[in-house]
Amino acid sequence: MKKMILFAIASICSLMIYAQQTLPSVDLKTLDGKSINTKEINNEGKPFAICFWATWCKPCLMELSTFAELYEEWQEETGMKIFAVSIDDSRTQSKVQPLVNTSEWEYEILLDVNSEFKRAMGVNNPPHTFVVNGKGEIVWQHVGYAPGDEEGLIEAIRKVIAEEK
Amino acid sequence: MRKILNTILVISSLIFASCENYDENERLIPIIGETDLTTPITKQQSEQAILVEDFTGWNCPNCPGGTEVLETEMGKYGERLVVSAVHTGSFARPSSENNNLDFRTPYGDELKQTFNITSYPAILINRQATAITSIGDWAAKIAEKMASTSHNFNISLGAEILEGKNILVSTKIDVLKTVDSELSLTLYVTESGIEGIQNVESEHQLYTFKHVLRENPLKEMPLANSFKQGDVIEKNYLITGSDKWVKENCAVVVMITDNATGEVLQVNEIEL
Amino acid sequence: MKKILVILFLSLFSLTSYAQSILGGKVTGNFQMDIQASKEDSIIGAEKVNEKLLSNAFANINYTSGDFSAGLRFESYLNPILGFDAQYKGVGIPYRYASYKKDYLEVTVGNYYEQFGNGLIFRSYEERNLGLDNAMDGLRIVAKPVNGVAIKGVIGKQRYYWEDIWKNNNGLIRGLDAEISLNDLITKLNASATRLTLGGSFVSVYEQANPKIITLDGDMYKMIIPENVGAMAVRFDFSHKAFFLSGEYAYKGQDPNAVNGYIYKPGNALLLKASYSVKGLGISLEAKRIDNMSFKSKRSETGNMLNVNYLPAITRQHAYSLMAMYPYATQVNGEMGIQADIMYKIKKNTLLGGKYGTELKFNYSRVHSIDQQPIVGYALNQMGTEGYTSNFFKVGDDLYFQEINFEIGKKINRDLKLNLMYSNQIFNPIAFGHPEAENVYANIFVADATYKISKKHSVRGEVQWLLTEQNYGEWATGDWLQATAEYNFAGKWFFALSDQWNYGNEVGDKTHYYSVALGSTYKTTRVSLSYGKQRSGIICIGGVCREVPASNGLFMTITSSF
Repeated sequence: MKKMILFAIASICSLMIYAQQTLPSVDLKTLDGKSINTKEINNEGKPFAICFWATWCKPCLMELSTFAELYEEWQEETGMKIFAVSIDDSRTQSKVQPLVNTSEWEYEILLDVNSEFKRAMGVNNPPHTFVVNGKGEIVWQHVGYAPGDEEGLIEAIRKVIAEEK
Repeated sequence: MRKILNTILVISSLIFASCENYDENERLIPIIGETDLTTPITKQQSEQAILVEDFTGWNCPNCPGGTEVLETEMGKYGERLVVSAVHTGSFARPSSENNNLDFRTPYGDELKQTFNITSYPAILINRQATAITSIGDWAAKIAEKMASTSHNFNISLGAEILEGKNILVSTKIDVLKTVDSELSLTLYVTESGIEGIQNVESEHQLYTFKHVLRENPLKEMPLANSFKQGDVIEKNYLITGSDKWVKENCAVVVMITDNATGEVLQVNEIEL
Repeated sequence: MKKILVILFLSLFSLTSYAQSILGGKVTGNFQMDIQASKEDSIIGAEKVNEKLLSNAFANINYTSGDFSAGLRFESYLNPILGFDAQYKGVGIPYRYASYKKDYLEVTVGNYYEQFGNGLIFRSYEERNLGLDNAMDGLRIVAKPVNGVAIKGVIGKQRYYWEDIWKNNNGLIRGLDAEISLNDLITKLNASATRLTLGGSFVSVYEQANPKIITLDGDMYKMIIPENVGAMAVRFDFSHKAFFLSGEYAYKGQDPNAVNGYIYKPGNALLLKASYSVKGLGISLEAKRIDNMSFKSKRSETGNMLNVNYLPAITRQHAYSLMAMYPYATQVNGEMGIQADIMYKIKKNTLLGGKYGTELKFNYSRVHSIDQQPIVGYALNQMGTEGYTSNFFKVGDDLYFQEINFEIGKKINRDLKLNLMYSNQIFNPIAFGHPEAENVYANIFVADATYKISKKHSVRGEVQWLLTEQNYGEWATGDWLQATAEYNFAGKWFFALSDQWNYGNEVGDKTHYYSVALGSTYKTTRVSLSYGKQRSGIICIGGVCREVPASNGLFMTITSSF
């Protein structure tokens, strides 16, 4: 037991040490079947967010709906972009596009059908949100969603912009 | 690029070559007796043994007396004496009085015919021509046979229950002396510990039956035409079992018989 | 235990320091630890657990430097928490890999996960919460020789708890997949509104066959069992503007195994999906037929492990617990079904739409058995024979599962969100391994409201109500009511109270399954602590299910990413 706690602490410590990370290289699909490598994800030098979600995940839908209401404002203010990575597998993957369109989400949707990107990014459970700066470094991340968490995201984006200026 | 293509070619040819398809007539191979399955040998033999087949029936009043004699002899000779109880004839015919318990088998009836058994109890020792009916003579005859039979073979055995039902028997025969005749192997199952009714001196009593000969023997499976000293013959057999048998109480009796005379030359028994 | 930890720390630190100082690589990872302390409770059937604490833990560590990446996963089950297979007990590193990616080629050695198409003939994946992990160990090559063409080759064996897979006799899997995106391959079509992707795959599993003796009509036979089982699949994805159509057909050669009762009939599966969506409206339709498609790398295996393929369930995946009381799992030996989803958003500033619009979702699914006719002269599914014949287009007589589901999502004002759901389910007990013959008919209602008190504070209330006439004891126990209240302080902590009440159980105890949960989030670390009773049940993810025994006590989960 003691050892396990020790182990947990060690793991958390390494979290503190390694904050600056870049995106791993994984091939994903877009909704219309194009391949895209995650290394190529960018927002022309401006910060962007990566949100892991699934059609069956309630808090994810709540999160993305909330972001959607604010997305236009956020984009005008910061020029940010959201890449929403669906981890739906072949059971629910065909519902991604209808759901996105119905909800009128304007995000870039990426499909991670066998959770390869999820694993490479160290995501345990969705929702899990990352903020990546203009240099492609992961500067902020957050797990779960509760109303109000959107503030955390946009503050992180603002901070990046302030730092890069 | 070329390397990748080559790799792909190799992998795909591997995959294409590795789909197996069996037509209906290729799927099931009937097993009649001999098989290539094996099970480890667990029971060795180093002495000459003899086989006593006791012809009996539940309604035969004098039979329990004979059985008692055989029990005593078995205690005396240990593994050198193998006994099986062949329930056949009119005394073995089931009725409501014994709750219709039927121990008769086609093979038992066949033995009765072949050796012309007419009175009960009667024993065959190593299946030599005539049956011995007088219980008083049994011990002496067994002793006589024990002394006179020459020790030419050892039968080592292994047995295993497959799919909870069938019995796989591995046999290993060591030839100790050169024998120039056609010999076969016969295997059958006997079951002990069966509760039932027995007529004991004209009184119906609760009785525990032992060494009861069961169905589906493997009769006279060919071995060879001649045997040289030092030969080792290994063969495996599958006996069709029955769900009715209590497997832990069963034993497999394996005997070498002479094709010309029908005589038993060596016998061994393995419990399951 | 100690040794492994030491090795782990050493490798972790050497890896990280090396990464920092020499190669400048990056380390990412995540870990989770579940701790359970359960005590006996005869009313709910929670059994006595001898160990004071049960715990599952894992940590992934990935290292990336340029074109090279490597990683490992440490796992510990001391002892496995309730519901996990006891064979997981132990500590070790079951997953480690090294991968190199350059230009058009990627080579991975060690462990990997991979999927061909929809996974109908090959999918290696993990579902940690189900204790399911069929990671491959071996070699994987992905090549993209030209734009629009992707070729994958895999060879290896699958994880089986802690067994040394290279010493056991489990099957060796070899697979090849090719996918061509015509629009990416042909320059002229790059920008076309019509897109077409074609794919095909082969998989073969070699497993040594032990002799199998069977009795047919009193005669004994030795079954000739294929040592190489082959499978192939073809697929397409087509899209034209807002319209999508995709399909995959899979065929599996003779594979007598424990799941199909050792019959020779080849298997096949068909999956068709279509969708149409525009702003505010989405429709999706799915049809599926599965016929004898259990495909494992060990033919005597019957559980959730060693699956070579993945057969997705086509029913709605539920997040509300009473909605998932009677969960559907794919019937690998045969099923056919359809699913339809319609989603519609009533526009903002209309009578029904209100200020924020209203989201409507409808889902219908129905799954039947397939047609099965016995082979002349034999019983249906007789071991050692073809098993049965099936008319591809004929729907079987048995209904396995049906669901009609409506959902309304509405934002009432800036602070209040409401979600209402109704579901009508028919569940066939026999199909899912229960002895009862009569179907379960259930009506389930859910109301879920979230209210934002201030910028970062919110409350959530949820009521679930399940109504059913059927009460078979143990797994189907009549009516249920569940209420949950939750307080959230965004980015900091949450607190929740919940009670699941089996008030309609006329046969047994009208048990309250209460629970209290408290959690805290700091960046990517989340700790949650709950105390209460957990009913025995089945949890399912992606159509694969695991039984969870009843428990009563404390449960703690820590997750973190780095």
